[in-house]
Amino acid sequence: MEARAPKLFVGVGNVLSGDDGVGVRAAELMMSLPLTPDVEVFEAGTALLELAGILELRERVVVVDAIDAGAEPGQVFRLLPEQIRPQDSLPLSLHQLGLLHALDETYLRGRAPGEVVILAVQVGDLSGRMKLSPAVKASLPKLLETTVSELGLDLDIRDCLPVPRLESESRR
Amino acid sequence: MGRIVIDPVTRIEGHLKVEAITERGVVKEARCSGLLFRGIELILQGRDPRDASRITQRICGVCPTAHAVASALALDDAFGIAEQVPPNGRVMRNLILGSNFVQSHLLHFYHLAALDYVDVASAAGYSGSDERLRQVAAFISRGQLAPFFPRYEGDYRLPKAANLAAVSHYVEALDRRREAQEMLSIFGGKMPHQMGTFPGGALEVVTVDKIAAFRWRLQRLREFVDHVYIPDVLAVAGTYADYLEMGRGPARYLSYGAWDQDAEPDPSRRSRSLPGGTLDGGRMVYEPLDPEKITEQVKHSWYNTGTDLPPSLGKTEPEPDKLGAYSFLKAPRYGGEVHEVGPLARMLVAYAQDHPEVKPLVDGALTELRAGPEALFSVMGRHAARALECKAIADAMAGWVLELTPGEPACAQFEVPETGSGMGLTEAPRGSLGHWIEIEDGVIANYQAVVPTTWNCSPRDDRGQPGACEQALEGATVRDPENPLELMRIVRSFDPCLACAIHLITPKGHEISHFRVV
Repeated sequence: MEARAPKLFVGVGNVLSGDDGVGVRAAELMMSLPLTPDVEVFEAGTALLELAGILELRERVVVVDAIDAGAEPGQVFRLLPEQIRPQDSLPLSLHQLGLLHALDETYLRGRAPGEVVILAVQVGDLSGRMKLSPAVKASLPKLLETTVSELGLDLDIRDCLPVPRLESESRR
Repeated sequence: MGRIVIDPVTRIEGHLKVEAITERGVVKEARCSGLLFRGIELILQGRDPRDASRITQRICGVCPTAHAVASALALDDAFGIAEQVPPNGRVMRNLILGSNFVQSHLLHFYHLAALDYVDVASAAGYSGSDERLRQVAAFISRGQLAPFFPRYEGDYRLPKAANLAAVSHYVEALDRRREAQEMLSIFGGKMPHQMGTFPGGALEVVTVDKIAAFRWRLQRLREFVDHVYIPDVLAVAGTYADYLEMGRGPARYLSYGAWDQDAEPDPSRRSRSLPGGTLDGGRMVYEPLDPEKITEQVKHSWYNTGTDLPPSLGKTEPEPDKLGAYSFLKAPRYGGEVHEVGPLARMLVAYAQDHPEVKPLVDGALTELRAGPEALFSVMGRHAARALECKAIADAMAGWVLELTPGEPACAQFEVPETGSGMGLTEAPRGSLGHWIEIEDGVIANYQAVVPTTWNCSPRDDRGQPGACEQALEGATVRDPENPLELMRIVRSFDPCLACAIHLITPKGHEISHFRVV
């Protein structure tokens, strides 16, 4: 078993569905920061089930995902896994079930991570395009600042994020 | 007359709504609706063609790999470099796709389908010597049953010992599946969204270490498939033998074939480890594949484009208010007829051609189940075919990996042409997958993907013929409309997978603590 960083950042979402890709964009930005070796950044995309092995035995995990809570686009919610566990019969969000399923897998194997915090960004536009809506894009610096503080990192992101390349729109 | 709505039906993969109209407990009419519009074709227009094999992987988190392969094949074709793909590149693509199949089939059986037949709750209070069962019992005692629920209650028939063994295998399969993903990442660079497949071949450098790392994992997987997965599936199939007669479907099967064995530029003449073609199950007649017979019909789909077009001429223009339409899936047809795709189709097409590995595997399973080939046209036939295919692929990979040559190139050089068109046909774990590309002015002018679940869960076509899954549901008996587990089992046997296009947390009914950041 290779040594793994005790702190983990995970960005999830689908970059093909507009604001749903916010977690992936956040992961790209995290990767551009001068992080210490005790932090790992993982871009899970839509492959949530693959997360189980990644989550195992971490001390602290911060996940950035999209949410539709009927709030203002770009608003960020801080959630714990038990708060998003579906209470009634069928959950509406299969994607989220994927994350919880991965977490459950770590428990089943007796290798659950310590604390898991989900920073969920209220989406605006989910249409099929590879860019974020202005409101969600504007939330990124503050989101990153929150992430860095949730991970307990001594880092001022304003020093490290000049003009982030947020979209990979090309040759339009 | 009653109406049963199951929504959503896939536990993790996507969003599919199934409506079944029943009369005295028998399904009279079924409708499968894909409720998400996939804009992938529109996203790709105007982009560099090389982006396609990266972007199309994002269509789905469960089978991204097959999209990357289909896209690479379409680009090989469009760039005119199919015959220049070096053996190392071809073999690495096969190993990447093969690893994905193995993990996907294990995932589907143990972590989705088995929960319809295996009662995980029976492990509650377990205090024996099986470490894995103790873990499950501890997990259940924490009050966390989420991965095993929601499920529809009732009808668990496995004997207690077999049931407990299957629960233990559920946990073991987690490890084996992970190793299959590691195998994929050895030649794909990373997982998810591997970077290995590329037009012209594959990008990883072949080394002795990588070959060795792949082989030991594969060896363990093959043992698991032989001694655990296949016996478990046959035990379930034997116990639930009525499901060898349920969920028949159209009994016409289509496979594009997969795992190239040479670099023949004409895809229909290329040798493939699993062959392409169709099988008319009613008459057991095989025909070789003719890609020109593939069309997409849209009479009952929310699109305003022309109908019965070949995918290369297809357009993706949604019309959500269209009268008579009920799905964002189009209705692909082969020669105008409804065809089922997937492991069962691949195994039957290979079986009909006396495939040297597949034929004895299928015959062996049929002997054990004391059934004839027609019993395969069923729910349990699909599960059995998936397990047998898993073995056929895992065994074949053991040979392929030894064909790799360290130090030799893996990718052909190429330039992106100003114009061109290409077709990439392969198989995804869930069935036939095709990508079609048109290049103009050096960028993508049109891109169409016809995915497996579009075949299996298609709506009615222009002639009103229901799709494969719709047909499989019709005639099914539902004992308890409040708990339509028969229909769940039929739908799950197809391993449906719609695009994981919208992913949201919906904190319904919760007081959520939050703070405002914006």
